[in-house]
Amino acid sequence: MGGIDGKLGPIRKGLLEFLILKIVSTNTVYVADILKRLSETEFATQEGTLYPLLSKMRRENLVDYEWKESEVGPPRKYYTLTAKGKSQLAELNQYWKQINSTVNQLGS
Amino acid sequence: MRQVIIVSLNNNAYHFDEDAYSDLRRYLRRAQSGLKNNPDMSEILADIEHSIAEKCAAGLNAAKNVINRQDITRVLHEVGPVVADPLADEDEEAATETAVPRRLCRQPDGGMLYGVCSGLAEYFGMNVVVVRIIFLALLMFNGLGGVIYVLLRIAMPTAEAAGGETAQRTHPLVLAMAAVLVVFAAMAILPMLSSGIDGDILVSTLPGSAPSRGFWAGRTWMGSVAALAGVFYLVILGVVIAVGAALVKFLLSRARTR
Repeated sequence: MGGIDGKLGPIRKGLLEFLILKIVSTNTVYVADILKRLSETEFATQEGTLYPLLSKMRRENLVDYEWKESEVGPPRKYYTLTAKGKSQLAELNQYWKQINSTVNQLGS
Repeated sequence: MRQVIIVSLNNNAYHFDEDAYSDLRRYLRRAQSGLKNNPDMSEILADIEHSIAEKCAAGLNAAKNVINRQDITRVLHEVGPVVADPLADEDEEAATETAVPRRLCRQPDGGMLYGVCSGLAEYFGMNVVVVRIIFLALLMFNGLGGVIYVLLRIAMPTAEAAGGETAQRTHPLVLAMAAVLVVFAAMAILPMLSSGIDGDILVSTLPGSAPSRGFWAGRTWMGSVAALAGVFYLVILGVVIAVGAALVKFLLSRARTR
């Protein structure tokens, strides 16, 4: 298992940012929402990974957040895509489709 | 009676017992040192703190308002180690991977006998087979491996029994006891080896050996004394194990109730 996972790990890692852009684009989300949506997939991750990544994406001006009151407990950060984030998502989507068809074309 | 430490997380006060507090502090320190070159360090730490606070709050109610080591272990496990650069190579990531506190525990499920070797292997990050070979090799020295194994079997809590409790604090004690035991065992074994060699073995291999003749006559006599002494040493060793294990257990229980 270790051998194949060594090859799959980098692929997952490379796609994580793309998927986060996708998730944030559908709604205004809170970190727990992102974790929950990813938890049902191969891309399950944790706060310890997600927060540093979101901070980096915010520094690159792809996402932004605002503090919102929650029904329970202290206010939370809700993330949204910036214009730059939206255009990067569109580019990544385009590229992903391209890669997909290339992979499919090159045989089974 | 246990002392609690009041911690402010995300502008709310939480009661931690000492163990839980030390675990949380260690986790946050590691996160901080892992992020020291990250421009978003303070923001990430604040976010992580926020998550920890939320998860801690979820486990509390009117009947339970102190966070213990078991709670914080669960929370930190959920939050996961802080990865400074999630898109970097595995190697760099592995450096920060050990953020969840390690404990020296027996693992009966993963073990062949009582899970001592498998617990040690996990604690020291070694292959369990290597640990077992070391124990088997030590067994050659008049059962030294067995002696150490028995002591550790008694002194090490199981992973479940520890339940995130105190084991981190007590492990130097266990190791110290093991070290004392090794010294005792070595003291017992070395005289047996040397007296055994110039007593019994040499005499029997001497050409035409007649124990009653000359210099070696006294030696055979000493050889049998050495054999008796060997038995004596084993008895002493047994007493040392029993006393050592009892002492470790006593100190463990005292550390817990303090």
